[in-house]
Amino acid sequence: MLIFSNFSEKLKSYKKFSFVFYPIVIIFFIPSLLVFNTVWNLRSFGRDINFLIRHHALGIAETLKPNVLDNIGNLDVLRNTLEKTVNSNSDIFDISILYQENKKINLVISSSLNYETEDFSNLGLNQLSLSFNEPFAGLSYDPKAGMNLWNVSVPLGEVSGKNYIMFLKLKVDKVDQILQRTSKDSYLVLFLLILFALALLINHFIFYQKAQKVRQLEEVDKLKDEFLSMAAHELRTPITALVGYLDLLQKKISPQEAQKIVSDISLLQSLTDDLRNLIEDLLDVSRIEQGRLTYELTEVDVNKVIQDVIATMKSSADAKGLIINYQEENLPVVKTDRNRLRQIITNLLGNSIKYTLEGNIEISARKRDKFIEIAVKDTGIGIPPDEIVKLFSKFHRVQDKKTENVRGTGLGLWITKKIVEALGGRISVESIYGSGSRFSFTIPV
Amino acid sequence: MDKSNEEEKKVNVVSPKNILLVEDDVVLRNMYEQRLRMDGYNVLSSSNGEEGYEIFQNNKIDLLITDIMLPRLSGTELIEKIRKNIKGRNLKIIAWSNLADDEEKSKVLNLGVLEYLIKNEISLDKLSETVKKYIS
Repeated sequence: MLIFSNFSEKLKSYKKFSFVFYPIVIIFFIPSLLVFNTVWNLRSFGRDINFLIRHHALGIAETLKPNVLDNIGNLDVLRNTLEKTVNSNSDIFDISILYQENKKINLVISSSLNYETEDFSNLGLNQLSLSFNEPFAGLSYDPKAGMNLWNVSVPLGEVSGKNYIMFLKLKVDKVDQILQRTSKDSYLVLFLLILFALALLINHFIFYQKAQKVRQLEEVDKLKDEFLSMAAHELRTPITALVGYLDLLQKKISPQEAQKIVSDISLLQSLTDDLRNLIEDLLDVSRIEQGRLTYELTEVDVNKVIQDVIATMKSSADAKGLIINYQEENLPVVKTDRNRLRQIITNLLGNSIKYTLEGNIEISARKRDKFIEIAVKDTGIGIPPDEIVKLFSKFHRVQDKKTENVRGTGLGLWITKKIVEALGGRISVESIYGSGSRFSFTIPV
Repeated sequence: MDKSNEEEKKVNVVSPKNILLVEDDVVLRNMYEQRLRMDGYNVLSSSNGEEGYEIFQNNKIDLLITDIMLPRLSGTELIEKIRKNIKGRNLKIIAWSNLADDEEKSKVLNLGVLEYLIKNEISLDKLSETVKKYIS
């Protein structure tokens, strides 16, 4: 689950980002790439095409110019010339001679009858008049013939106050080749872009599915959390009642009259305590594993906490004839979780009492640098060296003849270690099998 | 010596203290009732806040022990209502709950309760001690 919490953080931010990112990419980026591609192609090839057509048209105009201008009045000669030129050149479809007078363009003659009704006003008259010495004044694309035909107008020169223009309809093979190549390139680019868009979309949906899964896992987490709180509440109430009724039962029976019943009830009471401890421990373990254990940091008087715990556990120590010594020292106030600190000391002191048959238990609390070190030292049965390594693991209980009838969950030290570390400290143990043990832990000041 | 005996007799003649216990869980309520009766108190109990208030109005109560989570009238509302009544302005009250809700706790403490206990952490002995501390 811990791995998922990191992954889900990344996915959460990715989710929000991708939600905005991908639509933007797909909606704006792809078409704009296409537009860019087209514009780029047109610009770079536009100049080439321009040059090729211009060159071709110029060539034709230069060849015919002397003949046309000399015979400008003679329509028959002109017609002959034009027809001959058109028939002998497969790439020329039409030649018309036009003249400009008073800003109006008129037809002199055309090799094709269609031009009599053609509107020549779109030739860019101003450009024509301004750039009379330029070889080229207007260019447009005519798709009527089902092929690329270029309409080109070339100024010829002035004769008797009229500016004459040659208007050609040309087919330029080289240009066709360029265009074909360009359109092939464009299709290729389009295809690649579509693939790219598809890849993005597939990627998006894969992660969307993963995000869904994460959402489901979050749901499960939430349910676990709710279950945990409900379980904690539900389990505690019957335990409280059990403990209470056993207490009442014991009080209703006077010890002189029913000794055996009293000892049975004592046993029931300690079993209930075990049950309660197990439940509390399991809930703690569960919460620690889920990272849900919360800590309330306040200013804590360590001495007071230790003394409280000693007071609570004194009776069980007395019952075994053990003496608890505590030497109070001057300690600074510590910022930590009071209840958890109490829990740690209770666990360590409880263990010492459990595993000590005779002698005493010494508790100490000293300031060391930036920490307070608290130690619980006993004259108990000690821990075998090979057990020390496993001491703080879950459900570990020392296997020893002397500890056969000691009851416990095996979770206490695991929980204690986790809590100590969560509070910013470290726990350690020294023990001599047969002599006793010393557990110590630190809390940052 | 004689004087102290007379005073002792006086104390014995005085009627037992009345405790009003409001707790909706019947099992727990029965349990607390029995223990408090064993300790010598007279216990009047109810399972909800409304009935609890009625009992308070019709009897002389020395101590109120009430749960916070109650049907019909919550513990907090019951205490508020009692405090508004002249009779209940100085009534000794112990409140308890299963949950440690800080917001609710401070609300209740502001109404002047003697203690705010967590049910699951209180043994019957501890309860008995606490009650004895306030009325004896």
